[in-house]
Amino acid sequence: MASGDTLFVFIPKDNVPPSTGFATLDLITAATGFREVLDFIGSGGSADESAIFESVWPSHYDGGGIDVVIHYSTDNVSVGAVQWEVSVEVIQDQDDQDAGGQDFGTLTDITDTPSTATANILDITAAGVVTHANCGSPAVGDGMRLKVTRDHDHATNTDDAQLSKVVVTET
Amino acid sequence: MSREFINASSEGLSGTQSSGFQPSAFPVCFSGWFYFDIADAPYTMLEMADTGSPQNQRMQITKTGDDNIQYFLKDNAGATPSVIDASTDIVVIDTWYHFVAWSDASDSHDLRVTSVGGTYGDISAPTTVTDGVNWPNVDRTHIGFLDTFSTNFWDGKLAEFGYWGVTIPDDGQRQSLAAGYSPDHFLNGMTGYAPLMGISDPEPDLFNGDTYALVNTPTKADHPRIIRPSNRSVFFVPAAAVSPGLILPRPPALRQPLLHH
Repeated sequence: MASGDTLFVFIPKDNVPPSTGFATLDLITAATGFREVLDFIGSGGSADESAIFESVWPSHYDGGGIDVVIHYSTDNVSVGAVQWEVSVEVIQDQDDQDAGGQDFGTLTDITDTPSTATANILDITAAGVVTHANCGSPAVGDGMRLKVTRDHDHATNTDDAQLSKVVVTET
Repeated sequence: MSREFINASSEGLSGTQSSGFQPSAFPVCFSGWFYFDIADAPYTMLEMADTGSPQNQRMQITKTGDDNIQYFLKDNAGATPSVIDASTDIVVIDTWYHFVAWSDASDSHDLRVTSVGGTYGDISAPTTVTDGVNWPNVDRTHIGFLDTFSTNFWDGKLAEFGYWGVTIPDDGQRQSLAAGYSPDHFLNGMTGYAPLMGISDPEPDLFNGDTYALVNTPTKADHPRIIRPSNRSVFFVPAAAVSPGLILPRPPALRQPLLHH
């Protein structure tokens, strides 16, 4: 069991936000109630915003890279490209977990264009491929954190991007 | 989420409280986040009132004209509210701060104000008031203004208000709130939780089902760093493959017709 297996699914409430430059929890009004999203500022903002999700590499992880897919929408009608940046930190036995020990790997860009000029339409990105080395060469049982950042001034999409899920499968 | 209030537009939230919320005695505890835009003016974050009592006002958390934060309780004589405790740090505009105010069962009262990323706020010893303060039934709560005098409207943002009928028992838990852990991590003794989502009228209290009517039109705004309870670390283990030649018998319960009338 390996390629294509789902390793993690993160939802907005799983976010443990960084102390600064964090995405904020928001709600989309829907016919059936509310949908939770994480709101990332667009090019009208002044800085990138991030969310951090954490877990443990599960027992069925086979030591490969990962494919990261983001489910998102925007809060207005711009169809400018939205660029997400994902990076992974591995946390292993005897690692220093203080500020100096936080070492997210190389950023992987995931760029997607909203499918229609309508607010709150769900788009699912293509997979961003993060190699095993860029994940910090983790093994089963290691801790992990996945950081998702929106490059707020990529292209000219002024709308906020609303992340609803992050799906991670093994490459 | 948070609500943004404009003083000049007299914006606030007004709630009639259910019996499930009404604190009738100490201990009580209140927490929330605040951010203000205008310095050197007195604004109210939270007021609780009893419609059957003189002047109505029972509790108030407010910013003074000197940009200090104060926690008031009304005394038994129905006189002007007494300052129970005040922060020792002056707060400044355009910055998120967290407050926790509480009164325990032995008439000890305290207020802590913490800045984001700062040290744990006002660490002065609790104020002890042995008499002159009581806690009669509260049936109204006002966020962002002082209803008693229809004044002191807040100017800035308020978020994540939590209410308890117990004191949050130790500094570690209070500091966790100030670090961004949502009040709904602390369910023991909780009587109310208003995250101030900013998207509906009335604004809901998610814990007790009470609602806050909008006074004019406070709007939705970004909130401070908040960590929500979640079901992290749910793993997806693929099912083992079944041999193509293997036919599994259905258990007896599934051999019955699947449609029932």
